[in-house]
Amino acid sequence: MAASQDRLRLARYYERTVDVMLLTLIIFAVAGATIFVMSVTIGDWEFWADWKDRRYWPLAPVAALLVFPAGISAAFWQRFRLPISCTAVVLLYTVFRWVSSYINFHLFGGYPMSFVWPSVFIPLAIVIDCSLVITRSVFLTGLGGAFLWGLLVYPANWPLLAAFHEPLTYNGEMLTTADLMGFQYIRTGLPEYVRVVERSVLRTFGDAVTPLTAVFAGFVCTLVFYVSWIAGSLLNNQAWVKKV
Amino acid sequence: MKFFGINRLIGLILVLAILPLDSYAHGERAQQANTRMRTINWYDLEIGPKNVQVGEIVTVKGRFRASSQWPEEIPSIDDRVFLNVGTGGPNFVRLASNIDGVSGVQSTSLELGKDYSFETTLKARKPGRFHVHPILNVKDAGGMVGPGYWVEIGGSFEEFENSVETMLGRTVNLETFNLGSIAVWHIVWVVVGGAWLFYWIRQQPLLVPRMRKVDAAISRGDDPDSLITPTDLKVAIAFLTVTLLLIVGGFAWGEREAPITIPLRTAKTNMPADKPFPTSHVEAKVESATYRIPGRSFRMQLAVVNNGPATLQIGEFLVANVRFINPLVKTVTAIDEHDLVASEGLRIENGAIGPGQSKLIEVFAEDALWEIQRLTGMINDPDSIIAGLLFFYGDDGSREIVEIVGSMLPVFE
Ligand SMILES: [Cu+2]
Repeated sequence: MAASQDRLRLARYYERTVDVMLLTLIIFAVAGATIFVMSVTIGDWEFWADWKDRRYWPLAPVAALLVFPAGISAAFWQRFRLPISCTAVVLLYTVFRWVSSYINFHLFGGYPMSFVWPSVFIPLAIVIDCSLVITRSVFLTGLGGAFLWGLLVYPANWPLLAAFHEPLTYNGEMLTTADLMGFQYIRTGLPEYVRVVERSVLRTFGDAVTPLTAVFAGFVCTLVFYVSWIAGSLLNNQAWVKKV
Repeated sequence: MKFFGINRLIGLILVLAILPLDSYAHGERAQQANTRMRTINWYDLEIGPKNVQVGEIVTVKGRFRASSQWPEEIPSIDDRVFLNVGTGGPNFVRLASNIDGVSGVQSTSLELGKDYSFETTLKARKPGRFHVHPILNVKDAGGMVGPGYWVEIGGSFEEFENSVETMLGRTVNLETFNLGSIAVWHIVWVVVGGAWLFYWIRQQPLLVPRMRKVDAAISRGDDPDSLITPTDLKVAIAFLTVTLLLIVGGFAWGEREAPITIPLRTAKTNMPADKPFPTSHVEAKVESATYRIPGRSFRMQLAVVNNGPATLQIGEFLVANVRFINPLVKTVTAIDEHDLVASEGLRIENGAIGPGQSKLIEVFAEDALWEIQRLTGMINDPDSIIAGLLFFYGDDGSREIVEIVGSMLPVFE
């Protein structure tokens, strides 16, 4: 009797250890991979305040960021019915970004944090995780949650970003505060023209840039979510140890 | 899409590698000798004052001539250029810059063979000793780095402030601009996200039992969704509602805080269209040019025609930012240990050219700077075209600048 109780206690202990290790390992690995991939793909939009425009910044970073959280969600949902991986990965990613901005760009690079702050993504992740619980459907989560992930990145960041788009006159020119910071805080290898931001083009929807980009980002993110989810569940079924 | 490619990776690695090293290496010697000779020739450069306190002004000004021999393979300045400075990072803030008096906040385009004046006004931000260069960033070609001088900044960073006034009448300090709101919103979301995670992982052990239940449900033929309890559902609805309300509320708050906003400015600045090409009273043609490797000695035979009213002498030969000075004509001493001046590096035989005269003269440029600046590496370049500016000085105080170009042959013995 006593021996079997001991064994049960031991089993519980192992389970708890496995739990902590697995959770930490997976979340840290995925968040680490995310920050690396984000840095090499869409880094500059995230690094500099004067890259956060109305057209590319609300689209490229948010779509790229979804890849890993959506893929890992497939595993966590199918294995454990746990709707936490999006939030966990994005939260850790955000913390990493603060540390990396602070150390690399502020301490070493010398730029003010005001010029290199990370964007807000955590609420978008909560929306996806909640959608999974509420709909219990991958299809509907992609259609609803992932769409909102893309749609809401601009409004979610607006309280941080709006002040950077306030106009000022400088040497007789009108600039945003973000543009002025880009001019004043010297980047030797990153001149003004390399910014991939909205430029004047002939287009019909003059004033509707932001809402149009938001809706488009929503569609793109729905697609990214489905593709990542499929890739995630394939990998999950291939590589996961069947029984721990 | 280009920015998802390998060049972003390389770019990132370069950025990471260069950030801390920037203050003592601006890549001035990294480019092929050939590229440096035939792109931007910087001259009359003045950087000063060389000793300032935090908050004081340093100007970088001078002239540059865009080589008419610009290599065909290198994207030219007629697309987009940006007048930049290398200061080892934002150790200064740039208050203003201009090319020919036209503001350089936005990028512009220039024309080959033309001569431009430029000026950049910097405000010292961080104490230290920094190598300051003018740079012309050329789209798809990279930075054309001019000569650098050391500038020493004293005082302390705490004394630095950078206030501007917006069109809405708000005075803001760009060093800490909006950091309060940024921090508050990040904290709010970390708390909400953390609460969501806490709700799910508060029950330990978590993964293994849940996985067993999921497997059991599947093997029973049940729906594993039954693991989601009614409480879970309620909590999720609550979190979703709070999150959406906070986003909408935050957006409204942002709109109220900054009621008038404009998109980022990206217009290209146009330079005046009718700028003439530089003219001169002198014609100079390279008849032959050799470089004797053992003696670090460059020798050039020039056919010179003087159409001007003054008797002319060659006072300086500028090649790839290196200044070879003829001490018989003018005195130029190195300002600091990295100044690219060979004060006695230029020797002219048969030098003075009278008005109306045309003659053959011999130019010798000899200095270790050939090696130090890796100009002799030209032998390894696919072509051996040498190009630079010759500065002629008249007995009436006039100055004539001529760009010369020729093929350089190495002599090995
Ligand atoms: Cu330097």
